[in-house]
Amino acid sequence: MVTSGPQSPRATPRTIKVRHGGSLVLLRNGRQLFAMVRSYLWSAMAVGLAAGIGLALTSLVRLPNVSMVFLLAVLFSAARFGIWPALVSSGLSFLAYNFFFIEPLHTFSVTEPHELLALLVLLVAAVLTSTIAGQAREQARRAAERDLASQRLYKFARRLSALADPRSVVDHAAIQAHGDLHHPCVILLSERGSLEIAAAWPPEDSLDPEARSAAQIALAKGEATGSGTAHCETVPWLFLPLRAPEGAIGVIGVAQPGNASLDPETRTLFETVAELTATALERARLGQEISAARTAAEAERVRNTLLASISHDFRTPLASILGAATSLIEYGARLPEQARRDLLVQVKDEAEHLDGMVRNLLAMTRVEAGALELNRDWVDLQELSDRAVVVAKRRGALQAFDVRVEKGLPFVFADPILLDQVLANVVGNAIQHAGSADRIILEAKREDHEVVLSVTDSGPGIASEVLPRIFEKFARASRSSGDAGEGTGLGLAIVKGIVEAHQGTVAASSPVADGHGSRIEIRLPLPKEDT
Amino acid sequence: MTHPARVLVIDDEPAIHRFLTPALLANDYAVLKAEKGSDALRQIAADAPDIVVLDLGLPDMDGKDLITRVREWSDVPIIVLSARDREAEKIAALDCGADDFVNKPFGVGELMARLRTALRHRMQRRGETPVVSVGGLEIDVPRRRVTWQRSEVSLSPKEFDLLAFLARHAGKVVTHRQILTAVWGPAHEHDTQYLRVYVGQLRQKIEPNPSDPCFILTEPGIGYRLLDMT
Repeated sequence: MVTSGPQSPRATPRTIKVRHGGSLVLLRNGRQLFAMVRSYLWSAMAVGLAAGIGLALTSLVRLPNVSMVFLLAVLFSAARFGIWPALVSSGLSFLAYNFFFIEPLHTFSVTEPHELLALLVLLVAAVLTSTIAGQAREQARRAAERDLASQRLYKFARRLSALADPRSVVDHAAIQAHGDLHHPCVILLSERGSLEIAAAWPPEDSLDPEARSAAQIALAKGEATGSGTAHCETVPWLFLPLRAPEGAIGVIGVAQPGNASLDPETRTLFETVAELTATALERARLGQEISAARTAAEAERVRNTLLASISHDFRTPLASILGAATSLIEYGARLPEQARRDLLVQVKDEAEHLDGMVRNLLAMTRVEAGALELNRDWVDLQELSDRAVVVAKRRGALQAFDVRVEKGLPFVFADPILLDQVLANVVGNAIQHAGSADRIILEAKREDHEVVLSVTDSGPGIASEVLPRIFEKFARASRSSGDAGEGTGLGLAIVKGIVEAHQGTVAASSPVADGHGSRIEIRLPLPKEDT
Repeated sequence: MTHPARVLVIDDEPAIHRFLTPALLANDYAVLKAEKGSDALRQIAADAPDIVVLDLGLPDMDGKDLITRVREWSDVPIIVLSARDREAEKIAALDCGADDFVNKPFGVGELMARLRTALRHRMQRRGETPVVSVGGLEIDVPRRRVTWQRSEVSLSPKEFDLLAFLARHAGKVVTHRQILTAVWGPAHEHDTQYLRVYVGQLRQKIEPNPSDPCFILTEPGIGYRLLDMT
């Protein structure tokens, strides 16, 4: 399983190598170089200032020794900038002291050996102060880092708690671990007995066999493995098990190049990340199980209602077909020609009715299964609406129809067959709810980046308690002769499913005018280039 | 025709044979039956039926494969039976060389009309008819003239090409791709929006009631069919 988390674009830092503090320091960018130069400049300025103050003081009062003033400058550099600027500062101080205050004035020549003592004192002060200050700074930095780490962990925990999907949990966890540990991180989950990479940051979809077996051992033993542990210490990875109540469910690993082991604090941090991840995964898994159970229960309910609906609604046409056919077989010879013909027409009509029901049931199962495959093509809503009216009239609708399609309305890019069914069902619904003297208006127009297709009838309207549930399965207004779903109570649910599969929306309103009528409004997005 | 046309019905459902056989006999066809694709291939080769009715849902062979194999050596008209919601299957069958389709379930009258059309086309294939006449609409292909109830209808060249192509296949379904390739060229085989615009314009010019077309019928998701009145 290959998982790549969200890619965060990050520029590669420009690296400058500079000798500093006795070790090779990688300066991430020019700004750091500038900061270093600035620390030396500040140190030099402090010495200059000390010399100035010393000169000013000696001109006012006779001082036996001005070196104390320079000590201040050295202490300032040591405390503020560390050992190297402090040493530079002490050197400069010695030179300035010698130049301005020691006879012969305005030369660098050293006549008395004890003058060198001043240099020694300054150097010692620089080393001691900078070391103490450095320790204090380091402690502060660690405290700040710990603070930052706990803040990050807190944020991480909060983010995890919002995730319901195990995949996004592991993606986030891998990115978090990489952010905290600065080495490649990988999360493997145990899937049906085998350990598979579920997430890695930087994205990676393979793990060398040694590392994989170390991960396996971490999973099996429920203990840390890899470098710095008792198991597989030669593997340049550190693996921690993700522990759930019923045992380890996976492993989180961080690369340890050169088998360096993590310092205790980082190790604790990593362990906390592992714990949080395991908890979040467990919660996500439980959540998924619950929602799966809920879906199954809903599916069960739908199935039961569907079966009840089928057994009721299919029985009626089947009864008439069987009745008509047996009448013809038994008494055909004795029946007048017209009666025989009527019975045969009844068989045909009822069979067509059954066919319509089967179509809708099939459509509903496809919508339900989420298996609605859209074969999109350009659909002319004028043609679609005209056809819906022709089909409705052919099926015996008595209402007056009015088709109003805005001039120059763009074609809609949709599945023509499914859209046909949508309109047939909505029109069928209107026919069912309106009286034979009522009027049904099919309207299509453009609104911004959408096409609005509406069917309005002037019938009695939809009862307010039914209206909110009208697009639910089996929510029928009344048990009348059958709805657009040919009696299965599915017509408008199918409409909703199909329209939503097209990223559209559907809404019903009633009454429309003077306490009468109802309207179903379908909104379909237009392709981007048309908007 | 001196002898009755022989129809080979390929379907694994006995119920279909049971009602189709008497209906076909009543329409003066001789009936041959096959329940499996392999038998059907043998029978088409041995008995040379005049027309084939093929149910695409055969258990032993993909209907499209059967059509492709038959088309390697025979141009016998093939009418496929397929469930209504299987447009892709129908289009594939038509593109493989099937002549027409009927949605299941179907009324027997519809199937008979398709059989008649396909058989007539087979005979016409030997000599192109220059003038096609469909219920008051006359299309004179060589002179590029169209008349509706004897008065001339003025069509743009593309409108005429489209109508002439439909007329050449009058009564038969033609897929969007077939029309686009023939009228606009192979590069435009997916530009169905052209087709919709031109069909709309044609309907405005030749249909007595463009919102309830009686000449150019839409086969949703598949193509168009010019009604055959003869």
